[in-house]
Amino acid sequence: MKSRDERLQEYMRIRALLPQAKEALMRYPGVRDVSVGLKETDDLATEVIAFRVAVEAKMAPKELARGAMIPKEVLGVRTDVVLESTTSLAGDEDTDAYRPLQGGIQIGNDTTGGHGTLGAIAQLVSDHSIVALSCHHVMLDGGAAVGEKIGQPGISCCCCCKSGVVGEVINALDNTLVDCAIARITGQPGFTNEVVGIGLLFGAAPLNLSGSTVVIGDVVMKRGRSTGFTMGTVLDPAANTTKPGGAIDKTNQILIKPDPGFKRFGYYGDSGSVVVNDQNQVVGLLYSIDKATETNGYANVITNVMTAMSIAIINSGTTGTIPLGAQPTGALDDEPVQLREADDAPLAPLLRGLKESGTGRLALAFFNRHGHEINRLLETNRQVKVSWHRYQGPAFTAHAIKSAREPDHRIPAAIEGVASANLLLRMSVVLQEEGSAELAAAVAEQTVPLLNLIDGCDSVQALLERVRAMDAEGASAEPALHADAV
Amino acid sequence: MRKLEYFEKELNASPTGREILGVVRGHMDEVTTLVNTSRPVMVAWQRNHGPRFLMSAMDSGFTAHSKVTKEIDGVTLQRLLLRMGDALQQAGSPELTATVARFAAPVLNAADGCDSLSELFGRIREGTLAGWAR
Repeated sequence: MKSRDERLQEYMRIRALLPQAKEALMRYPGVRDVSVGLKETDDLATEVIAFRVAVEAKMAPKELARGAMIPKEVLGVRTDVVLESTTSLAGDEDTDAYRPLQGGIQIGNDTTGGHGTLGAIAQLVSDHSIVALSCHHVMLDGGAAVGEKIGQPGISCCCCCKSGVVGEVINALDNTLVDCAIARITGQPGFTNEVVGIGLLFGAAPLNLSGSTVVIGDVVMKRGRSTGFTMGTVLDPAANTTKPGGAIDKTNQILIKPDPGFKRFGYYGDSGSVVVNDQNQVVGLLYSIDKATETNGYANVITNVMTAMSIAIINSGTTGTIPLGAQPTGALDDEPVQLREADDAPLAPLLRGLKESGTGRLALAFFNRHGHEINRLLETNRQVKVSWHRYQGPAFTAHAIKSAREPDHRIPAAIEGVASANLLLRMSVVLQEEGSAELAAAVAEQTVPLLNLIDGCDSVQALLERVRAMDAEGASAEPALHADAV
Repeated sequence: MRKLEYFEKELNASPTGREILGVVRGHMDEVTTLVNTSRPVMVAWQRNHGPRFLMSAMDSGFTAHSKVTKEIDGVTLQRLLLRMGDALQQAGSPELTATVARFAAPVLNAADGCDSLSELFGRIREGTLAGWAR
């Protein structure tokens, strides 16, 4: 089994040979395109990286003219003859209403009532307001325009009013790289940064050396309204697709083959689902299925979508965005939904408990005052981001959230050999080094009290008991959280 | 050398002290190697005046009146310990990383709460070192 790094290196080496291989292979009759991807044998993805030669139709050797047979190897690289990848928009069965909104659920527009999938909750870079992400051909189905109303599970009409409306399209783009659209959430349906059946999202995967968010052979998953939860393997991280007739439709798309056990990776109605890696980071936006197989899926690279829509995929493990959610209310409100604490959000019990205690309030005050800067550093500063991920910040956060929801759940003492105290020490130092003078001073002051707060706590309940004990101790030997952080 | 023997004798006098001694002995070679060969550890040690703090502790007396130096040229003892803990957990073995996690709270609490070696050894003897019991 090759490691991810080995796969990436081999893919890069073979992709460098692609122009030469293309020149040689496009001379063969019936060849429409050549790309680099995993070789398939007996309908299963193998580990072999090959030149995938897309042809109009597969023919038996005896039916081919002399010299028309595609060689088994070109430039020392195996070839794999596959049917031309024309795409069909993944355009129909989970039709339930979900409140709060989250990824992996059905949405529909007002013009046609056609259905697709809400991929994920995202955040506008400009004003940090919350939007719903899906595909252009879902939200603007039937020639609709920006301003179109979006419903969940759909929009239903009576003689005088429409119901189910949860958003309004504010931006959409369909070009050779992306098929995406966003809708500003209206009407207070609530939201949470999760995908049904997949869980919390931890931002978007960064681009790697190959210019994609995935490496050939990566295992990914998605949840759509039609086929639900499916898993698959990346056959090609930079595939091209053609329209019927052969014209290029899209370039640099992620081609995904369903894993054994899943009939299809996606199907009609799954368009708009986000494709997620094993760390619950979004890598792509599913927009079509492969017509030739009706099993493989194509996804836009998520960074292209983020750039096109000027959005960020929110990292649930990011300080300042915890809890990420807003409770649904019946009240109508046209104001953009802002990130805020909610009573039904994952860490609400912890927040309520902290607010009831003096020590807890001081801890919260620290994060309230500096959370925005910490959040910004986590998203933009490489040192901070790397430290957070290398010291298992997202994993500890996920366990804390689970512990808040399920009192019996225990937060592990260590994850991959890293304890929460290791994480806290690392983050303390890196935030002091990379943050503002004010943040550095506050972090330096609060490190020991926070260490005392988390030390040995294996559940949110234990943490709250510690907070109450520290309150009771008052002027104990252990330094309490300093009051000037308020 | 007399002082090192004194430290050892003090620590051997109580269960907590013996535990500390075991931890120190268990990691002394690795820490010494890292301080002398690992650039990040060396930088953390030198930039935060590790040698001067160490010398200051060795030179201080054992009475309650002999205060431990808590700040040198604007660098606090706590800053030194925090930076060293972080550098050691980044450069050290998995065992050392686990030890840093286990002892970060009591060591930093001691640096914050004890004014003299006498006070520190007193708390170790009495088993009242903050953060130790957990």
